Amino acid sequence: MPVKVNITGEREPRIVEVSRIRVKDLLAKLGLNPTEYVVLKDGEILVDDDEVVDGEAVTVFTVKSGG
Amino acid sequence: MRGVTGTLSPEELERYSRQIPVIGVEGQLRLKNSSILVAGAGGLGSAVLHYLVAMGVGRIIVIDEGLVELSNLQRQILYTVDDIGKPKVTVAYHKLKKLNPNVEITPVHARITEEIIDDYVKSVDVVVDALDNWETRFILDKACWRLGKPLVHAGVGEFYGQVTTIIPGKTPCLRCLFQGVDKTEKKPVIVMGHIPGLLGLLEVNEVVKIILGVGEPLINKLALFNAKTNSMEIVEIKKFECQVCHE
Repeated sequence: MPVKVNITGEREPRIVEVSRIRVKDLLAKLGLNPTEYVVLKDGEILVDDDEVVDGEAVTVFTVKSGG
Repeated sequence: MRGVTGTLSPEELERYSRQIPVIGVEGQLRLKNSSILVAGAGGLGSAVLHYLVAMGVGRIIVIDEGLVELSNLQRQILYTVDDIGKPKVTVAYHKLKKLNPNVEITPVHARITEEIIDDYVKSVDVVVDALDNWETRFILDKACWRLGKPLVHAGVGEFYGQVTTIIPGKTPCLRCLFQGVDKTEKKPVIVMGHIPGLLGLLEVNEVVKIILGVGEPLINKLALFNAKTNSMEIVEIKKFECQVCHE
């Protein structure tokens, strides 16, 4: 089973075919800038070097900085 | 939060007559006895200040180092072309005092730094982040954490924005929630004019819930607003590790 990535605002999850991947590499694979996105797994905030493995699902959302 | 003390004048009873049936005289007195620090008097701050003053909070401190610029007027609804070049907080003070003279407003024309922010944070009940950069947000966040004050955060961009309420000891602080963001990054705000208004009012809604003790503030929840799809997704934060709040 691949890693399922739910990006908020997108209707369909993206599927990434990997067995194990670091968060920063996952974001890079998805073409997302790591300084603009937060990654959650089961409600836990993940950091760059945390790993996601085959079969897991994560939620990714963009952080806006304007005011 | 302060208790319910004092009375409402006949003028105040008339002024707030459309919301007193909702929150009662006791609720209105809670608002009147409350004090709020609004950090930033830009797009978010304009909306936040307008409504907090209109609804009758007791005391507001507004801090911002900026001067009104032409490019602000697309979204910063407190200002007009007559105000260009003037300190935002000074203009805001005069406009807001005309809206509701009952509210004590302290304008502070200054940059938010670690040296000055504690004195302002410690003197209020709730802090509102209406800032436009992470470096200053994290200074404010750290002070709120140190002093145990609720911090209502929002950020906006394009057609989107996020809102959450940080409660020291109960939620991650802003720094650990957004630990990946580049705090040195400074770029112009790119946003549709109405978006800071929408998100600013969601911040006001958080302040109201905290002061009145009603409803469910966004504690350990992040509301992600998408104006294109009219959707607000609530992301729940269940676990976190912190660089600041666990120090």
